[in-house]
Amino acid sequence: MNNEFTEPTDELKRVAEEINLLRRDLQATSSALGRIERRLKAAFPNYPPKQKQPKEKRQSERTRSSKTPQELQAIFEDLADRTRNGGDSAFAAKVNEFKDEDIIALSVEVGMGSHSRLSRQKAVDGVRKRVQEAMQLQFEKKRNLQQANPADGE
Amino acid sequence: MSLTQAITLNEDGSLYRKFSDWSDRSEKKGKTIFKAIEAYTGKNGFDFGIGYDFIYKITDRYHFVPSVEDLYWLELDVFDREKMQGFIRDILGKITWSKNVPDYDYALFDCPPSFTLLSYSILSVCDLILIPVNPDFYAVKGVPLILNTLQLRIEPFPIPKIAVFMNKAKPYAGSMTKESQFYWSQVQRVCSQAASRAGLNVKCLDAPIYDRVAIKRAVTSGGVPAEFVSDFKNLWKGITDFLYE
Repeated sequence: MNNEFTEPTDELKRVAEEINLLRRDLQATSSALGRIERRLKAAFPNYPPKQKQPKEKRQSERTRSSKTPQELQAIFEDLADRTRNGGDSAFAAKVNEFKDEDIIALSVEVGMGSHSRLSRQKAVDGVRKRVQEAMQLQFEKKRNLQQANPADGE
Repeated sequence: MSLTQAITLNEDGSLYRKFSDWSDRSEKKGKTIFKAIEAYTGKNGFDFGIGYDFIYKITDRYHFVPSVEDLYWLELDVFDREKMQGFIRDILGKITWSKNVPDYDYALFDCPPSFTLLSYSILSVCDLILIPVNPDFYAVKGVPLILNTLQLRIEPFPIPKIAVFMNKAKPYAGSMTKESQFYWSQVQRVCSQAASRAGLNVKCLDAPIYDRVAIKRAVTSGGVPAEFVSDFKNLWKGITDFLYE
């Protein structure tokens, strides 16, 4: 008896052939499009016109501190003195009183970063580092060697 | 690089022929700084003639007593510390009275950061100690240390004037960067503490030597690069003003 329905395996082969044909057509179309585009660019170098990227809007300028470098230096010395006497909690308490622009300006003044790149937190960390350095840079008069070891002198 | 190397080496690292010939002659005659120390600390008296076999002429105006390798082992040789203290004073006296060399205006000594018998002798006689400080934490940290050590080592003899200046300051817009300025302000604070707490005569000279690439050409081009002339003039003015205050 003759089977009027194609076998599943035959059906699969037919679908696979159709896919191959379709792929070849697409490749031919794609290469034709590529050729056309290359010719077009050779003839019209500015085609298609480049679309300008809209510039990102600048962040609104930060408010600059009104304090002078001398005032900032005085603030730094005061901060170092407070930290020397009251530790990091005294430092944190004093720094919390400062406006963002002042602590950033202070950080810049002591050479820790620039205005445009500093966040409040980074500025506080920078000032803290400088305060710690300043605390370690002290002149302490040592006792004379002979006073320290009187027996040596005998 | 030591000062002697900086002055006497070619750009390829070999000794200048003129210096190397002079150095050979000087060593053969026993006219080195080390031999002078040996003579000074020996038992036969300080019989050591001064001439151009001991002093090398760099130019007509700048003359130089080079270091020698033996000096590296100075601390291991048994020299009398107390006797060594007067060595530089006496050799300067010999140079001053010698008719073989001209009258000198200034004598500059390049000392290591550590104390040696020779630097002890220099510090006991010099009019001014010049301390260069780089703009970084550890260099600045060295300032109170050296001021303290100077005092401990030199006392009871009078402590010379001490001048501090910033070396290799980072330049920015005709001045120093904020970071260099910060470290310089810390140096000033430490020196002011040393002056008030220990009675040292310390002065911070506002005459920085900037960190510029051209300094690397100073040795090979045989002179101070043009960019540094005003820096060094300012520094020298600060030094002499302080010296004659």
